[in-house]
Order: sequence, then C-alpha cells, then structure tokens
Amino acid sequence: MQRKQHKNSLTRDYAEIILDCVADGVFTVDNKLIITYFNKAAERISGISKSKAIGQFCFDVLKSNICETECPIRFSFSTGKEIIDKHKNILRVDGKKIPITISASILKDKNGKMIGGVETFRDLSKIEALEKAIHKQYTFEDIISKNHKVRQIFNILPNIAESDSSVLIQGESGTGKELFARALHNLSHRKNGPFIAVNCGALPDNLLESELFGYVKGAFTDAKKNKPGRFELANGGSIFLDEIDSMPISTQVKLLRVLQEKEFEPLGATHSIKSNVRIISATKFDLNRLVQEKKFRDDLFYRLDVVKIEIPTLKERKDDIPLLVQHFIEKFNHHMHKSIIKVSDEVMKILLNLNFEGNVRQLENIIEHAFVMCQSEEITIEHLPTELIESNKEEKKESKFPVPLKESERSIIIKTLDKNHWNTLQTSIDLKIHRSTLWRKMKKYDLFN
Amino acid sequence: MKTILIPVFENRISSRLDCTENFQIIKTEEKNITKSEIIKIVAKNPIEKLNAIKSLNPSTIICNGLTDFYKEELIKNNIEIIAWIHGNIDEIIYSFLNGKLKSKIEL
Repeated sequence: MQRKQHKNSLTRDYAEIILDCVADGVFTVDNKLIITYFNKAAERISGISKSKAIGQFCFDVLKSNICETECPIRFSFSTGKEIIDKHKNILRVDGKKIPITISASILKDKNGKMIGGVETFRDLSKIEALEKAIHKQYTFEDIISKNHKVRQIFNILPNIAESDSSVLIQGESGTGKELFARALHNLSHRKNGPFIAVNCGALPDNLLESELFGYVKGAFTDAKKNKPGRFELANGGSIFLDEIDSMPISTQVKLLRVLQEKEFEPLGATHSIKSNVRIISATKFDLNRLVQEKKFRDDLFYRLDVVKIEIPTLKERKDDIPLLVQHFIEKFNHHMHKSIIKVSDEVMKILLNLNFEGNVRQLENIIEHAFVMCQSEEITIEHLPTELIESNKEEKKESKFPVPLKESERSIIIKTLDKNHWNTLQTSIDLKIHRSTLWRKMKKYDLFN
Repeated sequence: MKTILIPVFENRISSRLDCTENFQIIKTEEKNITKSEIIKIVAKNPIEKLNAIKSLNPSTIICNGLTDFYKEELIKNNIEIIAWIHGNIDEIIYSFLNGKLKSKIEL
C-alpha cells in the first residue's frame, strides 16, 4: 500500500517535471473552472506566477478575448468534445495582448467521471509579428502612440472608415502614412477586400498610367496580352496612392474620371470598367500649395482632399519615443533572435534630443543599427551610428547658459519627463504632483508637441 | 453625484474591459447608490467602444484586465481607473463605496 502511494507520488512529480519542461502553457481546472495546476510555460506566457494562478478562476487569470463568449473549456464540459488550436489572445498584466492558440479537453478519473479540464496554449507572438511584417495586415492597434495628436486621429478613424469618401494623408517621410492607410482600410467595411498600394513616385510617368489602369492586348508594341491595372485589382477594396504629388498631369485627368464617374478605361480599350474602389492618397507636400503653383490639378485636389489626416512628425510626438524604442526592441529581438532588453539612459537622452528629420523610420534604422552592433542585453552609446555619437560629443562641449526664471517650471517638467523617458506617472511622482495636474501643465506649456 | 462604470460577466467583474458588452452603471451620492442598471455597449471596434464609454461620462471605471490603449485614453479623459480587480460585483461595489478598493497594479 505504502509502495503504491510512493509510486503515485513519484508519477505525479515526474508528470510535473515533464510539464514544466514543455514550451506550451498547460493548466488544469476543476469542474468550477478553478485552476488546479499551472506549468512554467503558462507562467512565462501569461506573466502570472503559479502561486497566484492556482485557486483562481481561469478567466480571471488568462483574460482571453473569448472567455465570455466561446470558452473552450466550457464547450468541452458541455459537449465532451476537444477544442484544437483555436486562435485567440490573452491579456498580460502589462496590458499587452498576446496572440495564442489554445486546445482544451475534459479530464476524467479512472472511473470515467469528469473531474475538470485541461488547456494547453502556445504563444504566437513571433509568428504573428512575422505574418504582419509579410502581409502588412496592420490595424490602428499596431500604431504605437500615446501622443494626443495621434490619439485624436484614432478617435476620428472609425467615422472616416465608415464612409467611402476619399482620404488624403499628409505627413513627412517616415511618419507612417501607409500604416495609417492600412489601419483605415482594416477598420472599414472593405477590410475583406484587397488593399493595393502604389507609390506614384517610384514609377516612370509612362508606366504609371498602365500600372494604374491596365492595358489590353495590342495597346502598344509589347502588349502581348491583357493586363489588369491596380484599380481593377483593388476592386471591392482600397487603393493607396502614395506620393500622389508625383503623378503626371495626364494621369491626374484619368484619376479624376475614376473619382467622378467611378469608371476607367484600360490603355487601348474601347470599353470602360466600373470601379468600386476607395482612394486613399498620401503626400509629404502641401498639395494646396502645389495647386497654386499649377503643379497639381485643383479639381483633382478637391476630390482627393475630402477628408484629410495630418500625421504629426516624430519631433511633434517625442513622448512616443520611449514607446517606439521598446516596440522596435521587441520587433528586432524577434527578427534577429536576440534578447536585448533596453537602451541605456544615455542613449535614450540622445534619442529624445534628436531632430528626427527621417521621423519614425529614422528611429527604426538607428535601433536596427544598434541591434547589429550590440552583443549584450543593453544598447549603449557605442552601438549607435557614428554620426550620432560624434554629434553628441559636440553637444557636450557646448557651454550651458542659465535658464530664464519664467521658464523654470517648464524646464523642470521637461527634465523630469526626460529622466523618466516621458513616463507621466513616474514624472508626477517625482514632481510630487497629481498626474492630472502634470497633464494640465504639459498642456499649458505645449509639451505634447 | 458620481457615475461608476463596471464591466460585468455573470455576477463577476468581467476579465477584460475591451471584450465585454455588459456594463453595470451606478450613480452614487456619498456612500449611497442612487441608481444602478445594466447597459449593453456593442461596438464594431475598440475606438467606437471607447467613445461610447466616454459618452457616459463616468468618473470612475472599475475593471479587471485593461489594455494600454484603453488605459491611456481613459486617463487622458480624467477618468479614474481602478483596474486588475476581480471578484463578485456586489463585494467590489461594497469595497469601493467604503474606500477600500485600489488597483491591483499601479497604473
């Protein structure tokens, strides 16, 4: 009897050792959905320790998006069937959503009586990041920002997405115009249709027209067969015309017809093709000025500029820099199989003081460069591009002038924000003021810009 | 008078603010509940839902899981958030009215 109990105990210990070694999260629940076992991978993926998880309801611990509607365990309990590899996401305690697949089935004792359920789940973060990079299926949630100007755009995006009006996105190079265009498409009723991106500036003038509208066999010497244009390929979806300012006047006329008549003719065709496409265009220039300079057709401009989204430069959203740095660290860790945790305080200070003429893309390139150079867990100054290191040395040589008294409060707030990487909570604690007071002062001193 | 909003699932606080449709909205004066009702917020996307929440003008939201997106937006709208709380709704409301409810994780 004692030997049998000892054997059972060893079996249980071995089972736990084995389950703690598997890469997938595994947990068990009793008939009331209370967690009775939680392995090491489950701790790692969820960010919740075994001691805190056991004894809690599984939905309070995992916080999946389907707990309340399609709980796999409840399904298994009621049908006796297994659930295999259901896609969902869970919410970690740091507020990040983790994409996972989950499998669930019921647990029975040796007499066949149901004693609970078991769920296994797999972290899909790396796979999803790669899929997003390949298929560019970005939503507004992929736009990393807590800046008020970007948040204001978020607030109006659903209304813009609901309509079929043309949208003009204006923003400097590297601000993420295409990301916003894709987010808009994915919020709209056209999200299951195609999203076709065309960079008007990247195609020679004579090619752009045939690329956009296609051609029929025999339209010109090399036209051996019919070729659909991007407008035809985008049917039922959205077309994104980047660098619209580069479009030649002759093509502008044809685009105007698409906007007015909702139809176009491929090169050499004798018939028109109906167009059911939403046009999202983008430019880094002030199109209105180009119209005044007669470089862009005014009638087309008014058709494209029905709704305008102006994307702030990175200089105008410096409070997003720490957030973006962390995002790029996570991204490049996935891509380069590294385990870099952070940038040093000195590096962050340099980044916060940069002008970022290349905007978010420039920041991304700096972090990518540092990733190549860095072999440790922290990116330090020597991992930065040489020109940044040199300009930092120059700045240090410059003498410091006293700050005028009237600016002292503003200056103290900026310094404390810089010290805390623009984390407003920590800054408010350091300054011994309430977070909402800090917000008001930041607004007063125009620090959101 | 204060307006408190709590996402609910059955008789418990919902595990995620962004994934629930049912909300208990309570109006309080000092420590007393003057009105309590369950409302439904159905939205096509998180922004729409957030705007619907903001339109209710809650002074406090008591919730469990909270995404970064919701947290930042609610804080900017001066809405007090008591988050990462789980348990029975009535017990949570009782704790709140008695000033004993605090976020489990510092926001």
